[in-house]
Amino acid sequence: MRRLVLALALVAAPAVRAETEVAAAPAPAPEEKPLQAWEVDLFAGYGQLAWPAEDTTNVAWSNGGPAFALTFAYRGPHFTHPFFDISYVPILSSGKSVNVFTPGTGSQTVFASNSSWAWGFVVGPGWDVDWFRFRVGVGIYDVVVRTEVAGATSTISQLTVGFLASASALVWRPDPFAIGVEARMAALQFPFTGIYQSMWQVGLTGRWDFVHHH
Amino acid sequence: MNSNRRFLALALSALASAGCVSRTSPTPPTFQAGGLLALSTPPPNPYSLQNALEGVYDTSSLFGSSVVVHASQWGDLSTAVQASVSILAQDHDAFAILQAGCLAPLTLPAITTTQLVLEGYWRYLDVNDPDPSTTGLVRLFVEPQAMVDYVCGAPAWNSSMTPGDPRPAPSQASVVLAGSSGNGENEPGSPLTVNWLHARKSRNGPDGTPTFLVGVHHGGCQTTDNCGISENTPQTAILAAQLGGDYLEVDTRLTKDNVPVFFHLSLNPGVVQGAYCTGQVEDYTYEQLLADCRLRNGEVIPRVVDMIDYILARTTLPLYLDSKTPDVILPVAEILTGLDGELGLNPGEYPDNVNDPNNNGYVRCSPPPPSHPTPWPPPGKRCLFPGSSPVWQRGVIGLPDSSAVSTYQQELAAKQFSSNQHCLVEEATSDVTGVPCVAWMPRYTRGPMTSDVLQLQQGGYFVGFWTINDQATIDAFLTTAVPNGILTNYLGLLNQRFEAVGTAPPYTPYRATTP
Repeated sequence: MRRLVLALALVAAPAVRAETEVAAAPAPAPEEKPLQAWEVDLFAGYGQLAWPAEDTTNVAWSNGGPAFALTFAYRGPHFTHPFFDISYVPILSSGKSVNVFTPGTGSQTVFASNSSWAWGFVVGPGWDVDWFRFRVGVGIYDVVVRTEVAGATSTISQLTVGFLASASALVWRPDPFAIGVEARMAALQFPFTGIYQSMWQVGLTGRWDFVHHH
Repeated sequence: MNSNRRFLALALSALASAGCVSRTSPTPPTFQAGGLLALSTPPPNPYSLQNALEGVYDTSSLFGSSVVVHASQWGDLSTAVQASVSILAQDHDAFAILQAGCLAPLTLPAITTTQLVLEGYWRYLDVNDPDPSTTGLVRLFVEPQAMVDYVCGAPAWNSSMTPGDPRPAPSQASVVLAGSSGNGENEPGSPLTVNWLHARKSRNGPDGTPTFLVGVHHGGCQTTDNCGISENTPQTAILAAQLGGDYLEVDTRLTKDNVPVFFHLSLNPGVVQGAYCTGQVEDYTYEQLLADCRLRNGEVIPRVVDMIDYILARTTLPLYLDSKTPDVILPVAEILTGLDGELGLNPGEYPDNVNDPNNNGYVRCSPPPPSHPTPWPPPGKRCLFPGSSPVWQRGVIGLPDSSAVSTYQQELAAKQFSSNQHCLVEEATSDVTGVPCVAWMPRYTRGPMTSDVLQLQQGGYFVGFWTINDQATIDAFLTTAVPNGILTNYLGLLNQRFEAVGTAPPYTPYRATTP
């Protein structure tokens, strides 16, 4: 927890420093105003569980799934830009044989088909460094588990705290658009425990400055 | 800009290293190749250790002064009843669990006479994540030789005999447990001496029956304390017996397909493993739980019928079955009824399991009930652990709130329970006498409530408090409320504090009475 507080403090520090620097600097000429833009970003890729490693005993198949994200951000005169991110995060899909003991029928082997994914709602700061973009955030993830065992299906949803970290390289930037590649990590934390699950995603990202002015 | 980039790099690295929860637990240290116990034989009578070693002792290091040495018996009747010796301390909520073995002369060159060795591990429970500074191995040798000969030379005991060792033990005044302790998996090397101080305090009332019991909250150790066994599991009952527990509080829930299971709250990553294990027990069928969830130490979430079955056959512990939802009450009562092979033995009891050839419930064999038909045990019936009370005295349904009380009353009125079903109320004292139940177990934060406690105790009811874990509060309740029991996560601490300040209430609670 102390490390998390430290991380958030460090994340906030550049914004404070930027404010101070801007306040102290002489007012720029109107034609020299930096770009200010409202942007919307789209991410599409593939992802799956990164940690902890899945127990592969008797696993017949296992994979992740498609990942998506929609982000709104405001790029102002400061180095740090705030963003709001809505994401669909695949966690894991797998099928495995399980030996179970059930009342009346004794021990038997059944097949379990499971999948898990999450909807994330995250806010945080981001930074554009040349054609790279970095973002970290904290928010709420609605984790959904769908399980089917011996014909019985259940879908369970659970809200948890989650963290997001992403790094992008916007390699083609025809104004007002930009296109590139992005890697994302999401980590889930049950209240009052540590992080218990993390997922990676990689894919393509696109940016559109739908409102921008100098 | 450069300083901003440094901040950014630092922030990202700090976030990346934010603490992660491990979903598996460390296991207690063990001796390589089984230690000296692998060369020894168990004491011929597992009950001899009780006569020989139980008492209050001083230790030279590790555990502090006035520790309790407790002997326990547990195990599978089909193999052998086993004995453990535990050291229970106040300092660091420490404990050591040791197994005993008799080493014959010349087993090793240094052994010239029979020796009684105790080997096992120690643990400080005031630290959740054990490391070599808070857990390690212990090896102790019993002195004097007269006590060694008493234990190792005892006539062999078997489960058809009455539990106990009728022979008087030699004087305990000169008993010393001398040896060493270690850190982590390292061989013990630091000297440790445990010296006899005095006998343990009686927990019996004037009629000789126990009136103070140490209550075990969810099991011998909380899952989050990382003792190598998850709470609410069959194995934790063994740990509870070893640590001086007298009754076990465990939590019952009902799965989506109406299978009663033992589990406390939600499927929290701190207590369960599994990428698909989240939400509530009630969200899953039992097969789904088996497929998707394991407890922190790899155990399955146990069915109530399996776990009670295990505990009845391997310990003498009574069970306080805390109903987490009202709908689990009747299914659990039906399981208790099916497991009670003695129902029908006395006039007015129903159903008549004792004469039902299809019932394979448990009966007392060692010793048998005072009056019983022959042959005994009846065909198809199984034997309870030696010294056990009958099943109906060992399984009490807990009613934590008014909705549970209401459900219980409705089922009682509809004659859905056996004649001997017992219950325990956590809230209103009027419900204890009104339902009626046999015990009251309020939350300790309501205060000692001494007049209520006394009034119920005088009526023959059991009164306990949940759940007290710190020494000052334990002392305050032992001295002001004088209850029949306290639930705790720290069994060693409560045992030690009872020896220091406790008094057994002078009223016999329900479980000591016979129908």
